[in-house]
Amino acid sequence: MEEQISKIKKVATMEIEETKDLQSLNDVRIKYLGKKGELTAVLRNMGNLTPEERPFVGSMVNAIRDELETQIGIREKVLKSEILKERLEKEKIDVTVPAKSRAIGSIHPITGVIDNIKDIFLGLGYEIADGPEIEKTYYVFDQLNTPEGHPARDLQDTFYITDDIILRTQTSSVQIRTMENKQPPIKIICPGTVYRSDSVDSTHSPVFHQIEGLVIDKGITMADLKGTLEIFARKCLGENTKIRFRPHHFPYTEPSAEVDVSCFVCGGKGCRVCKNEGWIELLGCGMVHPKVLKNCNIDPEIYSGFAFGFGAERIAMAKYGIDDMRLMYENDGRFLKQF
Amino acid sequence: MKASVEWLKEYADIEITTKELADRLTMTGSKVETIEEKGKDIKNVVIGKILEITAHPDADKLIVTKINLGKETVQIVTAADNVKVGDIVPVALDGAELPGGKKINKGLLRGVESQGMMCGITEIGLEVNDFSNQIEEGIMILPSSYERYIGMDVVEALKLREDILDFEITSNRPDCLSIEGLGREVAASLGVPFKDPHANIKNNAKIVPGINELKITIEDPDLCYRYAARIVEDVKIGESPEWMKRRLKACGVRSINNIVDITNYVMLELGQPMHAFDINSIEGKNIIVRRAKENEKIITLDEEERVLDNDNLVIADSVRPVAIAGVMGGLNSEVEPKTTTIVFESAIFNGESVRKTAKRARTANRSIF
Repeated sequence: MEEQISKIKKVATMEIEETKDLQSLNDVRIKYLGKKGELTAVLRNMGNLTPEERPFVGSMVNAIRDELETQIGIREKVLKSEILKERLEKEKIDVTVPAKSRAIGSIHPITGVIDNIKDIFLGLGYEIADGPEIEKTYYVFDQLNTPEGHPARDLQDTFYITDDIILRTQTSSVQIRTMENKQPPIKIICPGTVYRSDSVDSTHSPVFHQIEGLVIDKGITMADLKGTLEIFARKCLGENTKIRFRPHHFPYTEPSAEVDVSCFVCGGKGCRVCKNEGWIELLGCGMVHPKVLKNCNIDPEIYSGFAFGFGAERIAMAKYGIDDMRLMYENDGRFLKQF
Repeated sequence: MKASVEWLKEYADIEITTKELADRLTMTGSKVETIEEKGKDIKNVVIGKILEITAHPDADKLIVTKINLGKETVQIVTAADNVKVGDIVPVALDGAELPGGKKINKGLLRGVESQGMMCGITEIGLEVNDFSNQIEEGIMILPSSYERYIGMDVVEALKLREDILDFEITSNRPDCLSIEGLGREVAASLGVPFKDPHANIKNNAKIVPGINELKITIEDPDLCYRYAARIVEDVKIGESPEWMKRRLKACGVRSINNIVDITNYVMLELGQPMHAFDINSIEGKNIIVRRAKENEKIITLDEEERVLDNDNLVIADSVRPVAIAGVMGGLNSEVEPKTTTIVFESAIFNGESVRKTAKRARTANRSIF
C-alpha cells in the first residue's frame, strides 16, 4: 500500500515537471487529484484497510496530495510567466522606431559646382561646348602651340593609348574643335573630365574635371578677361571676393597669367586654408596665342580672344572646405548626403 | 629652383625683407613657392671655450666643465667624451631654443648644477658634412680660429641664419634657372642695378704640346654646338670651403669634393652645366664628341652599365666613351682622390637630344634640366 502511494507520488512529480503548457498541467492534476484521480482512488479504497492502517495511510495520502498541489501551483506559475513573456515579446510595438523614409539623393559637390558655373556663364551669354575624352594629340597639343619635344607635353604626364591617341589632359581640345568649325564670334565654356598621370593624394587625382572658357571676337582685350573673371569670382565665391593676376606661362596664351582669389575663409587676412597668404590660386588664363588662332584658320590680325581654365574639384574643395580630394570620389553616403 | 637670398645679394642690392622680395618676384612672374628661414629657430646658443674639466663626484659617465663665454664663465655637465680643455664649442644656455622646438634649461645633473648644454652638430640643425672634421655623436668642436667668436651667438658666428626661396620657374624662362639669371630678375623687379661679381682668371701655366695639350674634335656638330675645355694642374682633391658648401646646400646640392663642387657651383650660378675629368684617364689626350656606335657600352658614375645607340651623344677619347654628353660622366674618367690634373668641360649640347638620352637612361639630375 505504501509503496503504491510512493510510486504514485514519484510518477506524478515527474509528470508535473514535464508539462509544457497549462492544459497538460491541468490534465495531470485531474489525473491524480481529480474526482477519478489516482490518489482520490486510493482514498476511496481506504475502506479496505485495517483500522490501524487507516489513519497512517490517510495522513500520508493527504501529505502527498498537499505536496502535489503545491508543485502544480509552482509549475502553473512558471508556465504562466513563460506564456506572458512570450506574449510580451510577440506583441510588443517599439514606438521609438523611426518611420520608414525614402532615401533621397543629392547633387554631388562637383556637379553642383559645375552647374553653378555653367549658370554664371550662360547668364553672361556663353554657350556650352563638348568634345571627346579620348582625343588625338593633334587637338590637345599640336594645335595649342605645344609641339613634340616641348616639355609641357611631358609635364602634363599624359596617358597615351597610341602615339597619337591619348586621354585628354585638358578641355582645351574642345576649344580647338570649336574654333576649327566655327568662325568668330565665339563665346563658349567647355566643362569636362580630363586625365593626367598623377598619383592619387589629397590634392591630386588622375581623373578630374576642368572648365575652360574661350572668347574670340574683334577687339577682345585683356581688360575683358579681367572683367569676366572678376564677375565670375564674385558670383561663384561671394560678393566681396577680390582677384589678382600674376604673370605665368602657357604655350597657348600670350600673355599668360594665373589668378588668385581672396581667401573666402579669412577674407584675405591669412588662415590655414590659404596658408596665411590671404590668396588662393584658382585659375590660369591669358590671351589666345596668335599661332593658335592661325592654326584654326582664324586671322589674328582681325580677331583676338582670351581663354581661361580651372579645376572644378579645386573650387568645390575651397567652397565647401573639403581638404581631401579623395573624399569626392569614394561614393561614401556619409560624405555625399551633406550636400 | 632654390636660391639663397645671400647668394642673390651678390648680384643685386636687396634692402627689403625676404617676404617682400618673395612677393615682388611672384608678381613679376617668378612665383615663390616656399620661403625657408633657416637658423631662425636657434636662440641663446653661444660660442665658448673649455677652461677646465673635472670628474663628476657622483657619476662615472659624467664630467663637469667650466666654459669661458667672454663676459662670464658657466658650468656645464655632460656625458660626452670627446671634449678636452681648450676646445671651442657651442653652448646652449638657460632658456635656449634649438631646432625642433627643443628648449634647454639649467638644472642639476646628479646633484651638480649644469647651466645649459653643449651642442652636437645635428642639434644646431647642421649635418656632419657641413663642417670639416665633424662626427655624428658627441659635442661639435669648432676650429681653433673660432676662438675670436667666444661669447658670440652661434647663429652669427656660424652664419646659420639663411633665407632660402624656392621658385616655380616656367618653361619659357630657362634664364631663371641660375643664380645669375635670378639675380637679373631681382635687379629688374626691384629696379636696382645688376652687379657682376666675376673675377678674371690668370693663366699661370703654359701648354706644352705633347705633354699637357688636349686635342678636341666635334664629329657631330648638330648635337654639340660648342665644346670648351680647360686644364688645371697641381690640384689637390679635398674639401670645399664653408661658404661654398653652404651655398650648395641652400640649393639642395650635396658637397662631394672641391672639384665636383666647382662644377656644381658653376652650374647653379651661371646655369652652364660642367664636368670634370682626370686628364690621365683620357687616352691619347684626345677628346672626341661623337654619336655612340650601336650597342656601345659605358659604365656611368652610378656604377650602372649603359648600352648606347646611334642617337646618344658621347664624349670619347681615342679608345672608348668617357661620358654620356650632358647626362652623366663615366666611371672610367672620374676624378679620384689622387688626381692632380683636371680637365674642366663646358659645352653646349642639343637640348632635345640630351633629354631623350636621359629619358632612355632613366636618369635625372640638375645638369640635364
